[in-house]
Amino acid sequence: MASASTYVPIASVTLTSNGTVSFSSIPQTYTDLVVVGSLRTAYAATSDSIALDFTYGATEYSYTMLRGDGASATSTRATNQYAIYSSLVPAANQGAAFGTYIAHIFNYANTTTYKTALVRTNDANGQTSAVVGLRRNTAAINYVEIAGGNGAIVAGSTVTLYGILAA
Amino acid sequence: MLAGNPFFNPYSNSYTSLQTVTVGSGGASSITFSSIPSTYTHLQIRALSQNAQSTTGYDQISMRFNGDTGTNYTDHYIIGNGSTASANAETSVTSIRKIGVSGESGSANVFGANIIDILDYANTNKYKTARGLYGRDGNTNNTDGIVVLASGLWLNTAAITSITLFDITGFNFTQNSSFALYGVN
Repeated sequence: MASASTYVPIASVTLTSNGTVSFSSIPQTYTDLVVVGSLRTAYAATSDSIALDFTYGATEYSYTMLRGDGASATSTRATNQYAIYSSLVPAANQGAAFGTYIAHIFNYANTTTYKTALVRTNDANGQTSAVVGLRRNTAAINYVEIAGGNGAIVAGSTVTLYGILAA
Repeated sequence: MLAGNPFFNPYSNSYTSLQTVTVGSGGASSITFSSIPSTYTHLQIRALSQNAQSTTGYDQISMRFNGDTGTNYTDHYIIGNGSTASANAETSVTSIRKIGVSGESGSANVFGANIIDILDYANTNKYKTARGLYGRDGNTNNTDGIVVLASGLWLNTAAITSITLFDITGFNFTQNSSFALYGVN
């Protein structure tokens, strides 16, 4: 009934200078992808958003976000975006604090369905979010990019890409 | 590796694919994982789902354990729909009624994404708790997105040996919907 362990690290990046993180030539042999990041951006503010995209330059993304900040819960939505944006991770004004970023990209290699991702973020300043994002394109995903919404992701941030294989 | 948990050792050999169901052209009224071994610590379901309703919104997915159709479940959840956040709860219901989501087939190629964690499922001293992270976005207007954090309780201490998932409004799951069960140690 059971198969071998199937949660596999594909690639990992630790930024040595401020920038973005991208994974290319992603093998098409898994069922889902998971991106796990410990992130902060250089944006001169308390918090920043993170952009997840698979085909930079196309406004084929939409997302719905649920966010809590310790005082209230809110929900926002946007269509025709360049990426799936999620709030929030720490930015420059939080010093050495890094946030968690986890994106689950479902059935990324199929060519029949639009691609859906679930994202969870946590900000050390007390904010958390859950996001569902859609890429309105049936093409298989072989490239994933993570970028700061307003500032570059800072050196020392780590991002790992995993593949999950269903039986 | 549970939904939202960042720290995971991929070399621990602790995440195992148990069963996968991919819905064929005839559709499926429900999905059942049966004969689940009791040798893991937790279970996780990862699903991409669409139902046969011809409109363009979404319907939620319900879950039962061991075929129990009694009023032995509770659930609660917080929902974001793109404009407001709201929370609700139910008690004495016949399933964990809102643990996942399907896209409706009126939006071609749009599926709901789901991660459901069932904790300590084989322990016979605890009621069983599940949590879900799920969402569906249609990219067509400002009213058809949903993202949810959900939790549910089965008021029964029996070990879970089967899990049934079904559409809350009774529609079939459509072709290419996929449901994968994993064991976590």
